[in-house]
Amino acid sequence: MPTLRSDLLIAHRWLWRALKKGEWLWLMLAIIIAASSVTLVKQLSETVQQSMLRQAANALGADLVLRSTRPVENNWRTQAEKLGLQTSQSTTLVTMALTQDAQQEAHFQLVQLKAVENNFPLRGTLQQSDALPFTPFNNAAPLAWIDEKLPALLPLTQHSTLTLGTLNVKIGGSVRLQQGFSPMNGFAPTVLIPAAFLNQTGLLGPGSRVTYELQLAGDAQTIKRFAARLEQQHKPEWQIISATAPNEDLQKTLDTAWLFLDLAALTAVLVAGLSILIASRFYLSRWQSSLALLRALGAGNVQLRRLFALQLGLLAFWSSLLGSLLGLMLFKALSPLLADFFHPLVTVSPWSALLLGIGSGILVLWSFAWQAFQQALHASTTYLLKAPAAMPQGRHWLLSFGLLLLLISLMLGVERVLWIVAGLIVGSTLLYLSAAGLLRIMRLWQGQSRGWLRIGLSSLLKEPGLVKIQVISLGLVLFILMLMTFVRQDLLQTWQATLPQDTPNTFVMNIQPDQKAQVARILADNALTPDLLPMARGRLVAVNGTAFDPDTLDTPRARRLLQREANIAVLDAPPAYNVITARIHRPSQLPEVSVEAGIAELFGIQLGDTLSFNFSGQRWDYQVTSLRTVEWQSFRLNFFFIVEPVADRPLPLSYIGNFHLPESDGRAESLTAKLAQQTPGVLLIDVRRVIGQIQEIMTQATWAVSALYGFTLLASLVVVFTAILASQQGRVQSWLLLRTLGAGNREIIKIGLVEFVLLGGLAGLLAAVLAQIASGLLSQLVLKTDWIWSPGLWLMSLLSGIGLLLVIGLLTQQRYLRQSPQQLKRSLQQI
Amino acid sequence: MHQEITPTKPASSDAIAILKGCSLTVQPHESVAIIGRSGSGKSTLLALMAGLEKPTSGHIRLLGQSLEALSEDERARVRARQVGFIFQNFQLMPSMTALENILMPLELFQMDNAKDRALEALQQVGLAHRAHHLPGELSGGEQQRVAIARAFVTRPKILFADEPTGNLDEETAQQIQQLLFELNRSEQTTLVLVTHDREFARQCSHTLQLLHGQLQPLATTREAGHANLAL
Repeated sequence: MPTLRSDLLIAHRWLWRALKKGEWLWLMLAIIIAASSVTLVKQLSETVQQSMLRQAANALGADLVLRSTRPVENNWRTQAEKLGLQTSQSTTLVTMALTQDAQQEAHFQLVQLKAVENNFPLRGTLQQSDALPFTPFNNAAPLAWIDEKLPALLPLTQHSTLTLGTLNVKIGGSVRLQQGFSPMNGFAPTVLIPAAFLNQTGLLGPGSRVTYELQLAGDAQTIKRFAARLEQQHKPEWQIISATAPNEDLQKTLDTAWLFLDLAALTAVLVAGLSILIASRFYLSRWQSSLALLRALGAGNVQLRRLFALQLGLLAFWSSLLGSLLGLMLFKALSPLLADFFHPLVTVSPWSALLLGIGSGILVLWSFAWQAFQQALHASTTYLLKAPAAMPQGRHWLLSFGLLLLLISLMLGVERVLWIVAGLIVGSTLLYLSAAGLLRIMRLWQGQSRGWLRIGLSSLLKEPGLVKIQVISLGLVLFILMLMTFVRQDLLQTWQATLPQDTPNTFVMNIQPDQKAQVARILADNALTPDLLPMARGRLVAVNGTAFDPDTLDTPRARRLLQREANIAVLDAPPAYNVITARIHRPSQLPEVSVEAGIAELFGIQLGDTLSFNFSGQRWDYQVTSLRTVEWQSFRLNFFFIVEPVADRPLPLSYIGNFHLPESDGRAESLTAKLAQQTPGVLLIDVRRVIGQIQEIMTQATWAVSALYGFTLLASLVVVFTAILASQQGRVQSWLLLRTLGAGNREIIKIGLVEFVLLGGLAGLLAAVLAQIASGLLSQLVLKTDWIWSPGLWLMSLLSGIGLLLVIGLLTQQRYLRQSPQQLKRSLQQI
Repeated sequence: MHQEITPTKPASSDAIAILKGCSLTVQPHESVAIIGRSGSGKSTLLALMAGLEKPTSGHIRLLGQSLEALSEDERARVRARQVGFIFQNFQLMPSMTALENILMPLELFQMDNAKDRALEALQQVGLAHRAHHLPGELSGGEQQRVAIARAFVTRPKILFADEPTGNLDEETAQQIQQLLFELNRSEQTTLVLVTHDREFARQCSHTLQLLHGQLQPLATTREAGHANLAL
């Protein structure tokens, strides 16, 4: 009696024999492509994400920072430590630092004093600068590490003493601080001291403006859970900064990149699935005859099903394993390249990528080969006597579809499946109908044609089912390639446009009206001529006369924005680089205010509303006459509110400007010193490092997108090959017949050309229809532009379809053109 | 051991009109040939007798078991060790060597000494030297000999052959015919074959003609033997 164990042995043995003879090759290749792309993409995106995260965490000094204007209750630290997280606390305040030069003359400078614990920072290291010798902190004598910018502002040497409040500290070295390390980074140079000495400064007291931070680091999931728990507290004095979202706009850009990567992997899997669908049709008659034979030899239903399923299952497993390992090897080969881009490169455990790859490979085989599997199982013994086999039933299509959905949800997450189901149903119906329609037209044409054209058409239409699959899959592959080319180009262009080379990276602010001319002159001396825009610090206090109560607002961001003073520009018109999305003509005598669209949505502000602002105790009303969108990540001067200047409203004005300084430019230090000396209070904020970081991330994401694009391109070519080889047997049979009837190479080539040109043309046509619909939907729904009929797209699609098929036709047919009928007969047996 | 067929109709509807009512009994170790024109239903009749197909009415007893009452799996079990089948178009697995094709049924039912038995069968059909060749590398006659070796390697009690020489030239056909009758004698196997070659049929102990869906006896060169035919 056959058992599962014995059948497993037989299945293994038969599969191995078949593999040795090159059987199952196309199926195997398709599974390998699917599994390797999923593994590669998963490992690549995990590594890239983790490396970026680590880079962001290093810049932040932690994975998560809870920043508060009041001391953070100790129980949060205890809770975090119970969860296994590392913690560190710091206290930051702005104070005046004093030092004396060699002539005993006193020098003052506004600094950010940051008292840190010994384990600071939790992520990354403090970069020592070479300016001064470095001494580690110890709790015996107070030491200070100073920002490398401070020696330009104060006459400091390694023997200097710095007075902070009532505490005198020795200089322990200078450090380069990254953005995020200090809450007010850039406004004033930072001085780090050990937390144990903070009380001795005497600076903590009622009225002092202090920022408290609880820094956390640890396992990503725990951090995420803890961040969620903190968010739930809705404490207005808290700001929760996560390394996952160092910047909201950047996060959006990166989300697009991740989506592209996921889609690229899904595309590779679907493309591989299509090649399985085609290959399984190619193998179907062979499977049917072998199963019918086994049945004739006396194998029972259960044993047959088991043997066949085991063989397919083993094939899926081994090919997936091979594919996944190949994916990991490809990743390994790419690692040196990655290491150039990411510092540090976080090595992610390969297990989850390996498992996902194997799972996807197995699922992709079963979803796309299920129909052929069922059809083959129903092959009765009379199949051997040439009776037709039963067609698969509707429920098998459902199962196939179900497996496909499982595969997609495994790759993209359950929440996206609904959209994909709808897309798949609409897409496949559309594809099927188009293919069927095109074939009907071909059939009509065949009736009207003569000679070699008629033979060519009839050989194309010999197996309409197969041709439908071929046209659909080739069309889909062409469409996917066109879509990916377009999306990739668009993505890269958008990214490049986001942060051009001359992005402003240095801000000069807090310029009082009487300092404006002086600052402009100092800047002009350094060949810098930025526009200095007038602005005032103010707070939104009421909308249409109704005062805001910050505690009633749902989102912490809205609460924070209301509690803080905002920079409000005082300009006649918004800058040209802002896009006005809605505008009304001045409806009343009130002065105008233009509001950024995001903030308008957050507070429910509409056109025509009256906004009341508090500018240093003075309340003024303005009417909203326009809404604008602003690219915050562009680093240009952008404002939530832009109010109209009014002569009889004396606002507390100051000026702000920005400009680009090359990374290696030394002018920043001399400018800082000059401005500090000649225009006290004016701040120079250098964000070059932040911009550098963002540009680096963009380069990394661009690279990852391009790598995946190339991979999908390769996978797609394999599908096209499979699609052509699926009908090879029928084609060689035709060549044999034509040769026997006396046809020469010329006629055979003409007939072959008809078949390949038509197949490529039909697929190109289908791809063009899909691309036109997709670009139409994109322009209507996303870009809000008009539907554009693009003849270039149709031409490109048709030509690439025909060109591709002609090249593949040449590659796959040329050896048969040189063969005699007898050789062709032998070739037929080997296909 | 005998086989009996009373009015039979195969399950497939297109064959209903072909077999209108035939009765046939085959005794152990006999050789029976069924001849008839193309499309007369010979192959369908053979498939019914071998239990490859299930009749919608009538009775078929194969080796003492009523086939019409058996499920697909039960009929498969009957075929597994006691029935061999040879097809006109050989039906060899193209990706398996000659030896592997013969090994297939032995492995399927985990029979002992599979490889030795398969090699022995190949030897018997004179193809030991072609053991590791793929079907595509063998001539038509060689392929059919491999198919014959596969059919009798399990030592079946009855061997059905559907036009076993239909695709072969005259000389090769004669070699195959000789082989079949030798096996019929040496292995004590009952042989039921379908052919349109009257010369081939004449060498069997019985010859029947399928005409208009009915079986009619033809004169044979041998005595009627154990034939028991009732219409």
